[in-house]
Amino acid sequence: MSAMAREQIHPERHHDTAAEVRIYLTIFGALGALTLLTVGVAYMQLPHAAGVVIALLIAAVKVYLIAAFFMHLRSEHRLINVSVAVCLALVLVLIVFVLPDLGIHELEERSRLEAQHSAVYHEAGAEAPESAPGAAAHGEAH
Amino acid sequence: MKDSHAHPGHGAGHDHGGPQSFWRKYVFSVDHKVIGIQYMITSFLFLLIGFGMISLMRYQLAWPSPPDDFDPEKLGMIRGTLAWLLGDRMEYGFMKPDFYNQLGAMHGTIMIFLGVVPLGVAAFGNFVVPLQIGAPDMAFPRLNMMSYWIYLVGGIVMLSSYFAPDGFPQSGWTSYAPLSVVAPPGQTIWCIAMIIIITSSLFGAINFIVTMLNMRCQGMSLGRMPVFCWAQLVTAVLLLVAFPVLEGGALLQLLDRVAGTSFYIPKDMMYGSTVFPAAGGGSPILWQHLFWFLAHPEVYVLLLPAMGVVSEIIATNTRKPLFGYKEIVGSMILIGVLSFVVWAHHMFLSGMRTSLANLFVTTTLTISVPSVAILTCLLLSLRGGAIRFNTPMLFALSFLPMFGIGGLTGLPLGFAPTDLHLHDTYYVIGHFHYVVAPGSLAALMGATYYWYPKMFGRRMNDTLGKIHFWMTIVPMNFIFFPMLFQGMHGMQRRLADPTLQWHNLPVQGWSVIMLFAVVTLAIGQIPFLFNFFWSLRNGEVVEENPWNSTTLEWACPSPPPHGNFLKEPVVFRGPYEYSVPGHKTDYLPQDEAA
Amino acid sequence: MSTAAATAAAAHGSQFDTNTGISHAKLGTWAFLASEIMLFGGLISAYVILRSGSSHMAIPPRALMGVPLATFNTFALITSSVTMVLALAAIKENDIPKFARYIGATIGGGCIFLVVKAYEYHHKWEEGITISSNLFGSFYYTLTGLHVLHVTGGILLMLFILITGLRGAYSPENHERVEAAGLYWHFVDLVWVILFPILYLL
Repeated sequence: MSAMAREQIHPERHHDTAAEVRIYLTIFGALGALTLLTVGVAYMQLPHAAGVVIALLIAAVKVYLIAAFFMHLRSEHRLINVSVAVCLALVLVLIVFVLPDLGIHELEERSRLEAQHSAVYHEAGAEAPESAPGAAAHGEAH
Repeated sequence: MKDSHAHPGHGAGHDHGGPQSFWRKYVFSVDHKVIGIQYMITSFLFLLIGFGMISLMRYQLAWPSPPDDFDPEKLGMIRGTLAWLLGDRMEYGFMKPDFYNQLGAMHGTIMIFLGVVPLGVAAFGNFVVPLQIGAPDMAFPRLNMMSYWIYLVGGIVMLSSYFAPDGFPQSGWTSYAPLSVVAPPGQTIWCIAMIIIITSSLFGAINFIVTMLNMRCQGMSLGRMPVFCWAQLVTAVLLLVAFPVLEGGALLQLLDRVAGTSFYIPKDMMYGSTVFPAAGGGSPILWQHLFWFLAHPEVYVLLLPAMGVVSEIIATNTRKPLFGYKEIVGSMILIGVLSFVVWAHHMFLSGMRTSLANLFVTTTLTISVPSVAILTCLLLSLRGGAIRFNTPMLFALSFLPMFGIGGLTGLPLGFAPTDLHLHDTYYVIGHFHYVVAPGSLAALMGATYYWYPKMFGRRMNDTLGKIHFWMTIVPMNFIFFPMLFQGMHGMQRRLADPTLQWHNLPVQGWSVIMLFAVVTLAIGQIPFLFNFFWSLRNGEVVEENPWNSTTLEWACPSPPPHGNFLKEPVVFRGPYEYSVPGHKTDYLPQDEAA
Repeated sequence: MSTAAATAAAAHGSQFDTNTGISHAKLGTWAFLASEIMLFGGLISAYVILRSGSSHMAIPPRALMGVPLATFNTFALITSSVTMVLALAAIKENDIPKFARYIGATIGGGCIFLVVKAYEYHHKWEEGITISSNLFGSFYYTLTGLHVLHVTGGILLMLFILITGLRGAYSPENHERVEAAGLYWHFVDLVWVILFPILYLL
């Protein structure tokens, strides 16, 4: 099929590409602005929790822009969008289910309790037992 | 990488530019059938190696330590040979604990990652799936070939850890930190080999997913795809999404070992009488989470292809439609989804808070529901069937009660309160071996008999097959059922000499019985191995469809030519139209027009 | 041509005779990216968990982290992402010289990123933030190191796309490989967009 014929069937093609390019450049601008914003906010010395939330939110927006516009997820088959969403959900599962076990200063808490535990044994004059993390007693202390 | 694939006439007419050399055709082939057979032979070899290791271990466990009247100068024939072969890994012919642990870690690693998964997924999946969906090959044939060679390299690297100072990895297939971090150099090779093997799996998973989603022939909607293919699709997704987390975790372990990081090392960890030289601050439990996040879906990777195989064999050999196709497929998908939120039931004794443990108890008990649903559907599929008791059917039928026992014994492990007593005992070993050995592995043996005619154009001998069947299933029960007793009695895992713990003495006798069962099991594989190779030349020659089955793999020559189908099949109906009223034969193939 | 696939393809307005209407290259690339999401996701989760839970993860002061340089690096990578997608647009217009220039810019952006990272690593190592100095250092080098490996792979991939493109492999009707390579490159940029704040800013 000749180039001319092709163009006749798809006359919008040139406009499509030009419009696409405009969108890409707009997103580029947005990404640049958001990068500056996130750095700026970081220097603002906000309380830690607020800082984390804002930084993650800005990152999420940037990730969305790249995924939706540069990776064309906006116009992509539902199968792919669902697959990406499922993966993100799984990463969240990993974080959300493990944080109660290991995060939020759990480790510190646990070693504090173990130190107490062995201190009690030392006082009683016996050998401190192996401070294996599997001891049920520690689980109950939480 | 071509974009479109389902070419008509892609079979006999396909040109590779002349006749292919032996190397191109049989060694470096991109044909999914050749690659499937390569995987099959290689995984059988690894299964034999893993079996050899456990045989040595079971010999050790039967008589773990010298009796009172032991004379080191007069070792018996077996013990003497072993002492001579294994040198200073043995002490007077009895296994040293380090070596026992090496064999244990390697048995698990080899059987799972180099044996059962490659057999179920890569061997039978590769061979059968494109045929069952009416495709000429996989979506990415060259990637497929690469997957095999990467797997082989990974397996060789894993075995080469034997030559590391202090030998094989010895921290269990679970490689728990911090032991695995401080372990001898073999463990570093474990990490590297796992990364290689995982890469092979990931490439394979990508191939399976794209093939099944994109290359189904005309009329083959997802709702008409055989259960075996659905099982492989769910399995591929599990592998794709779960393995990278372990890959990351293994990378962290590797760095802990060689780069001085402390991802899994707590602060001021004592190592012997000194503080371990690392900055600290990490958590050994983190390894457990990252490991089990993969390793739990991994057990469904072990299981689902086997369930798929059993479904196919049962449908063909009952001459009636599978009961509950939608329910089986839906349950498989549900198992896949739920498998990602149950992992910490392997960690109930790690000190997690009870509210988190309860969450995992709930999800674990929930996942037993779809498993039971599948088992029930398969059982109901038998009702009213005209059952043909050939060798593949015997294996498929035995899967049902064996998986039943395996699944039921899992329930007390899923309940945290009972798991407190059973965790890290032989009960666990009995449970999971029931699911994997007389469960999955037996099903895959059935698959071998079932699809051998398609692979090689000849049947395997059915009498030898039946001998193999009985000499496999019966001994397996005598090996794994007593483990349930030993475990409930309190015998711990991973002990080279359980008799050192006096409470184990009453159940020690079972270990002797188990050893004799192991020997019987070993002998029972001889008819299988003989049959496999003998039938290549002497088996009864078959045509396209020796089992009179309905699915598409039986609609092409045996063995299929390159490109599989002479012209692209067209599918008119679902996969299990057996005994359709009014039809002249008791099976209505998917691609038959009327 | 597979009629079922063609019907599905027509329904999606697609030129590919696959059941989903998505080309093998694109579907395969997204499957691969799904595994990469889990790889980086797993490692980032480990970082989040230990960062929250470990009392021995001292975060270096911002001055040592070199935020301005890392910000510049972020721009470099984002720019390379833009040039990548502009290269794809150029191919759709059959403008091979423009395509080559933009792919070249993408490679350039990637190389700048690597050079800056090399300097950063050297500088931090000298300042005492090594892979084993403490848990933060371990995560910093591991996460960014893995990312650097992916950028390097991406640059090699882009070189391949450039060379094959100059040889006329791509056209407005046939540019799936360019798009697939672009997806990978955008993903690598995306990972950095997450790593940058969690390692440098928080």
